[in-house]
Order: sequence, then structure tokens, then C-alpha cells
Amino acid sequence: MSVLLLAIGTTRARAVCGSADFLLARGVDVGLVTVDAESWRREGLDPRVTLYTLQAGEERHPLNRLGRAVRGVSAAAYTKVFSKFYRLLRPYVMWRVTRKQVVRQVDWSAVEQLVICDSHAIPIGWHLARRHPGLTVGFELDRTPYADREPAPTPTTASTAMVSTSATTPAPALSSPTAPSGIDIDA
Amino acid sequence: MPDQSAGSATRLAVTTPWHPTLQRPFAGSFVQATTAAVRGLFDRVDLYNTEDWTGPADPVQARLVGRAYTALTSGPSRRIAFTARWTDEGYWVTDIPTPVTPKRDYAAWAHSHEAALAPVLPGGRFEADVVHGHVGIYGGWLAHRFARPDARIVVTEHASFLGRILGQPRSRALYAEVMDRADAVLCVSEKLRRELAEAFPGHTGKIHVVPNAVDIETMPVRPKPVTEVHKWIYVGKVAAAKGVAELIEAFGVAAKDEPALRLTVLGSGPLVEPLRARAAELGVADRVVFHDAVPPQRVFEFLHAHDLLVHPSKSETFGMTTVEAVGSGMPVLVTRCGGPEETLAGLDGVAGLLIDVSDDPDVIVDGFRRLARQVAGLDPERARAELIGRYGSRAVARRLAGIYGVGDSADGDGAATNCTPAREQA
Repeated sequence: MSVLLLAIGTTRARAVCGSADFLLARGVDVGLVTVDAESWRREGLDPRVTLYTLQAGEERHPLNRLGRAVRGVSAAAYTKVFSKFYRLLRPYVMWRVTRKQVVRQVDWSAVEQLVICDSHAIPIGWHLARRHPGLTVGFELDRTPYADREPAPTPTTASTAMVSTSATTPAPALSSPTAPSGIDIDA
Repeated sequence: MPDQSAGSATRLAVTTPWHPTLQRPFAGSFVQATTAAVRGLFDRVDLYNTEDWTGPADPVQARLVGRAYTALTSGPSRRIAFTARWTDEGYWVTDIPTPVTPKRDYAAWAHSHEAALAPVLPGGRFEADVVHGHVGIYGGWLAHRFARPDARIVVTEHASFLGRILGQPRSRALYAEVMDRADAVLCVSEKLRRELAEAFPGHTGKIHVVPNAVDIETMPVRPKPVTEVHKWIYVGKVAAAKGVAELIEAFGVAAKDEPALRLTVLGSGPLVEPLRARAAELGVADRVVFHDAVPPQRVFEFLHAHDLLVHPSKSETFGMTTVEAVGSGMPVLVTRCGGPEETLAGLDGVAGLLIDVSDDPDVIVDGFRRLARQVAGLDPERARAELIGRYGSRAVARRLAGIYGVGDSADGDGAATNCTPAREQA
């Protein structure tokens, strides 16, 4: 059995890492669909979490190749025209990459829950929910099914599991959203 | 755990954008404490926590997120149902992620919260006799939009950014609607009350100062009273508005004459690395420790391991850290930055010392030297007792019982009586 987490950026990294720790300690496999792996390493995500990264697939997408060609001709045209155009299409591109890569790599018969962990991931979460009508979907991990399990001690060493096309040089326009914002909490 | 299907008993609904979650374990602990304090007044208490999830800034992408969220959470084929969970504090909580855009548009955020909450409520409204909204533009707006017509609405304003809310015409207009509908508007400090009364002079009669409940009674008191103030601690966000830069400068000055002085900065924020570098420049790097924020329950370990809380903030609506320090029996050196002169009213020289807000680090140094001379004359027990009387759970619950218009059984001993709402000094 496994739980698939979906977080495009790291704005809610504490919740994602906390949920992963909770599940891993109880012997549940955890997968995380995200843009790039490095930012999650910096956030302290347990290396036993299987990462499905979208960055390399996004860079290989024809629209991105077109963007690089535009940038090669004119940096101004890329910034002023193409990047604005691409921003509108990025959710579509991300879903295409998810569908072509992640959907095929995940053993959906073992997935018990799909947890949408940040705002940017909601459209992809909706697409996945539609494809898997019997799957439990939520914005927070439902801990109830695992509450009775005794947590196991955390291993001291583990290797990072990564299922992805190899990461290449990140394109400047493809950064994942990480800056926290929204309602002030300085009451 | 009570029966979730409880029938027509007296009910309280609380709506807030701040409440502890896995992502933000420190957010809204004051809402948690206040709600826990009044749970005994009602047969059932439901808290709705509309937590903001910051999404794309681009309007088209934001619309896509909104549509997907709506499809997932509402309609006949919705996939995500929000369920209430029972908490150790004795009430039900429903956490509702709310997609918002990063642009600081308070009216848009209020409407986002409204859209997120609407499908969660059975029958599309709060089935509660009293609805308590925290933060006027969020919880207050939701209380106004979803309370039954006969329900009593109480709004608590905590926001240090109230000025920015009232500065935007659209959010000010929403706030005006909240003020019209609310039966009572509570401010956690006199400073906020004045600000609100100036903005809405026609409603001054319903604006009262009622502080957040702080569970001082259960705070662990330090085992031995402080006799010397060598080990300083700052607790909070490491940001310019908190005066932490002045604190480092002041420590650099004071430490020259006092070899035993040490400083711990407990918290995170944008100034951690710059101030670490500044401490090195001042030659006190080995005497200043920067420690990441810790869960609320661990703060007292740090307070007990130090002698003096220095809180040089430029502005505070309440000043929870100061109250926690005094509640634990610790002397404080704190600026008159709004909340603290109210929370420590009559306790200057008893709980510690109040100093002026200033960009000059010498003000802190001077305050420290005066405090060091008179530390033996402080009376931490009296200070703690005074704060319990003002902000303790039972004291605040008794005042809220009167404002809610319900009998006070919060402390379970039947000793308390109804209180009339009063615009009192916090």
C-alpha cells in the first residue's frame, strides 16, 4: 500500500514532510509528485520518499524547446512575449508531463490516498482524481487508517529513491513556487 | 468525545483564518486558547479554520486552480468532503484549505474564504446560536455571511495589519458590513479599539477591549526566581519590525562591560544570517546563539534556562511572548510598543521594565542596566497573579459569557456570573 503526495512547490513543506514521516514510520510507502527534487532535499524530506519529478519532462516539452529557441534569437522576445504566453499554458504542460510520466510509473492499485498538498497542485490533483474515480483524495492526509500502527524507528541511512527522467540544467522560467505569501499571520 | 449529531443544544461556531495545523503549528494558538476557555459554555463548539493556501499570481492560472478546487469540493460528483475532527482542547475543528492569490487584496481574500467555506456548511449556514469570527475581514466576514439571522455575532480583531485592511476601499466596505451586523466587536488591545472606533465612529458602543485568553494557570513556573540577569533571550520572528537588530547592537555594547552576558535569539526570519554576521563583527559571536523556532510547549524550557526576556518590538497588538515570560516567572525588558504597556499596566517595576520604542540601542542598554540594579525588587509572583486575573482562561471565559449572552459554566464550579460587556482596559 502507498500514499501519493502532490506538491508542486515547497510552500507547505512542513506538512508534506510531517505526513511523509508519519507514514514511513508506519511502514507505508510514500510517493511525491513535484517539480524538482533538490528543493525537497533542502527541506529535509525523508530520502525514502519516492520522488516523481516533472522538471526534466517539462524541459523536454515542445513548448519549452520552442522557448529556448526564442531565447536564442532574442532574450527580450523570450521575456516579454514567450514567458507570458508560457505562463498561461504551464498548468496544461504540467498535466501533460504528469500524464505521460507519473501516471505510467505509479502502481495505482497500491495507492490508498492521493493528497493534494499545495495550491498549485490542485489542477493536477483534479485530473488524477478524475482518472481514478475510486481513489480517496484529500487536502490533508487521513491518518485514521494508520493510527493503530506502532511507529517504527527511523533508519539512520537510506538512499534517495527517484523515479524521473534525469535532471538537466533548469530553465530560468521553470522555477517552482516557493515563496510563502497570503494572509498575514503577524497578529 | 461528544455525539457529533447533537441536536438542538446551545452551539457556538468559531471561524478563523488562524489555528494550529501541521503546516503552521504556531498559528492562532490564541484562538485555540480562547475557544478552549469557552467550550464549557456550550453543548457543542465547532471551529472552522479557513487556512490560506497561496497559489499562482497569474489570474488565468488562479482561475484554473479555483475551478479545479470547486470541482473537487462541491457539486454532485465532488471528491473531497471536509469532516470535523475532535481535538484535545475539547471542540470540533474543520480545516478548510483556501486557495488565495499572493496579491495583498483583502477583499479578494475574504471572498476566497467565503467560497471555500460555503460548500462545507450543511444547509449553507452556521447552525449555531453564537458565531464568533476571528479577524474582522476573514472570520468576521464569514460570520456575517453564514450566520443564521437570529444568531449572535461576535467578532474579535487581532490583526496588526488592520490599518492596511481599512486602507483598501473594497475591504473597508466589507468591514463596514461586518460592523453593521456584529453584535459585539472585541479588540485584543486598546490600540486596536481606537483604530476601529476612528474608522467606524457610529459603532463605538459595540467595540470592546477583551484580550485573548492565555492559559497562564498551566504555564510552568521557573523552579528558582531570577537573581541576576546575565542570560538574555529574545523569542519571536527575527525581523526588522521586532527590533532584533537593535537588540544585537545593544547586546554588543552591554557585553563589553559584562563578561557573563549571553544572548539567545529563538526564532526564524529574514534577519538571522545578517544578524549572525553583525554579532561576529561586534566580537560577540561566541556569546550569541541563534536557535530555530520551537513548538509552543518547548518555549518554557528556553525561558527557564534564561534570566531575562528582551522584547524590543516596534509594534505589538498584544505581546503574547511577554505574557508567557511573566507567566513563567521571568523578568522582562520590553518596549512600550502598543500591547505590552496594556498587558503590563501597573506592573512596570514589578514584572520587569518598560522602555521606549527607539532605533537607538542605548535605550535597551540603559533599560538593562536599570533592571540589573533593581532585579531583587521585582515581584514575579504578584505579576503572574495579576496576569491570571486579566488574561487567564477563566477570567476571559467569564467576560465572553456575558458577551455571548450565555450562562458561565466554563470553570465548572458554578461560581462565576454573567458579565456585561464592558469597554475595559485590558
